[in-house]
Amino acid sequence: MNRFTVRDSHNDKDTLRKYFCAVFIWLAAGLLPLGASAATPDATSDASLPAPPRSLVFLNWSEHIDPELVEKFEQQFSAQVSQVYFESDDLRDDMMLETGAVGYDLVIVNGINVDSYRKRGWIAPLDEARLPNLKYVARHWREAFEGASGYGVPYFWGTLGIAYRQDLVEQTPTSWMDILQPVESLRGRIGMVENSRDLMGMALKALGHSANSSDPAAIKAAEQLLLAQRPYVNTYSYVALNEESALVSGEIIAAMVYSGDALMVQEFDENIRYGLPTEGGNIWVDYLAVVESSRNKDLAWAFINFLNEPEHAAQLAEYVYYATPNTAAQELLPPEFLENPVIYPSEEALARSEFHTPLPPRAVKKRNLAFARIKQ
Amino acid sequence: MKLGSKLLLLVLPLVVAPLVTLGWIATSELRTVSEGKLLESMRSNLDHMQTHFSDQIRTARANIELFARHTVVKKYVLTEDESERYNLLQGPLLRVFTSFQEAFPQYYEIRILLPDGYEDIRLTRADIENYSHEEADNTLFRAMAQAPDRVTSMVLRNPDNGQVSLFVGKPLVLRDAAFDPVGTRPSLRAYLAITAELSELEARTREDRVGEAGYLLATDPDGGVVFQSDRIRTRLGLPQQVVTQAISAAPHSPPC
Repeated sequence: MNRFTVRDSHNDKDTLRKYFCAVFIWLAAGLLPLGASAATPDATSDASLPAPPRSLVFLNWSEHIDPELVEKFEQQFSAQVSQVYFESDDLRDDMMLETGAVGYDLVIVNGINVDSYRKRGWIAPLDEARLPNLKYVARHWREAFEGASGYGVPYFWGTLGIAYRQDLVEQTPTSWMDILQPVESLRGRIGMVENSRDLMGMALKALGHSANSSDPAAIKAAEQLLLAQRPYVNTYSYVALNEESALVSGEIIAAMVYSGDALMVQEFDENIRYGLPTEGGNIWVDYLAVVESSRNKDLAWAFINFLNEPEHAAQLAEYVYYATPNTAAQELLPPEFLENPVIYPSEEALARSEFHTPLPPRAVKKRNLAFARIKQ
Repeated sequence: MKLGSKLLLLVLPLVVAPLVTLGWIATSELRTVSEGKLLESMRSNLDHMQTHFSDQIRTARANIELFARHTVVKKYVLTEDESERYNLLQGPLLRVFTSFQEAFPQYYEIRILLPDGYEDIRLTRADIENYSHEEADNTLFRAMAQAPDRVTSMVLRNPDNGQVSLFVGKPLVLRDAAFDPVGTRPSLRAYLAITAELSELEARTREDRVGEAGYLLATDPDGGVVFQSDRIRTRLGLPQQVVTQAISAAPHSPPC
């Protein structure tokens, strides 16, 4: 008899029972660790396999954070912070629009744009319960821009002025007109910024108007001024802040620059100077905001809170040479930092300067179109 | 009459007549050949121009379809809040348009027109003035409004710079997937329009010759001069009858 063709039914039932039992035990063994990990997300089933670090993607200006602090945060929170850099506020808008603000956890937003980012649903409302260090941040900087206080934490503030090579310029630039209607020796050696509000705003100030003017004739005149300046402009890309900067090489000898950046690049050449023009400049505030689509909001709030520990905020300020809105950190800063007029301009110089304020939509449109023509 | 004279009178016609006949036949043949060559040269020139012009129109129509599919273009026209549109989206959109113009310098004007004809965006060279923001009465706008499901192209004189240009427009009919309920039909949000230089066509008309003394002249459907040769300057166009005949004799019209 062939035992493979004629089977004992009793034996078959036994075999099946054993088979199903084995399958059940195997499934139960396999599912147990899953259940355990779902209950305690940080626990690992095997001590030999470390949990993957939580990560944050931070959309930031380059050289705008002390890498030592980032490292400290990473160690303290078992996290990994990756930075994606933008070159100008306008280009950051492009990056956010391109991805629909997906793929970033944290972003630095300029004050005037916080409200637009909020309206677009790109940034999350502040979770103040997770930001105990918010108490150190000065209220007037939190509220400097419409809609900012509920959505962003002030990171730094500063001014927009002129950086120049004192050893290479014919005369010290003291007015915006010195770079907007420059002398012949500045041909092809001026650096401007790729930001419509800043570029048009400072041209308007040079012409005696407010940087926030919405008068069509004034905007037209500013456009003409900037168009005439074009042959003297080397680039509308923001100057690099390392030793390869065009300001260090002397390719550019006068540039529209944010205050602290001038001091940062001065580390590579002491002939680099910064001045706030007689007409005044722009006072800006950068805000830290959590991206609404972030899946790591807890970690993002923790990062913002970490940066606002007074000693961390002071360390950051000294690294980037910008004024901190953190009042407790300010008390920890050395007098030479607090007395540096590039970082903390005089009341008089600040009084001549302006914040960007919201403009009527049609005025924004006129400025944008003028800026596009200038950049063509 | 002397015999010599009689012979001369008899022989001379016999010699001259064949020569004259031969000369006439040769001249007639030469004229036919030369006319044929001229016509051939003219046909070749016109065929070349027509091919080039048709290609330019086809490319522009394909490009406007491509531009209209750009995410930033769609996001811009779907944003109804003016403040958000101008503060946040217009800058990126203008940079996109600038990159289009860098790739296709002949598209010297790119515009977004709102459904009521208001010119919302117009990116062009700084030296070209804008005489009107209201385009509701403009020929291109009216044609686009009548054909909301297709690309419109036409050759017109641009009132802003006086140049005869190729105008191509496309209605942007979209549904906002983020806000519109499922099943909502796409609706007209705006029109995208590009204006292209016809510089190649103009240069060929100006420089090309037909034979020794022939020249080219391009006219509009009314016979008015659009482009003309450097060799002759005329304000007179072609008689309407000639234009009508030319149009009816054309093998096929370009896809305007």
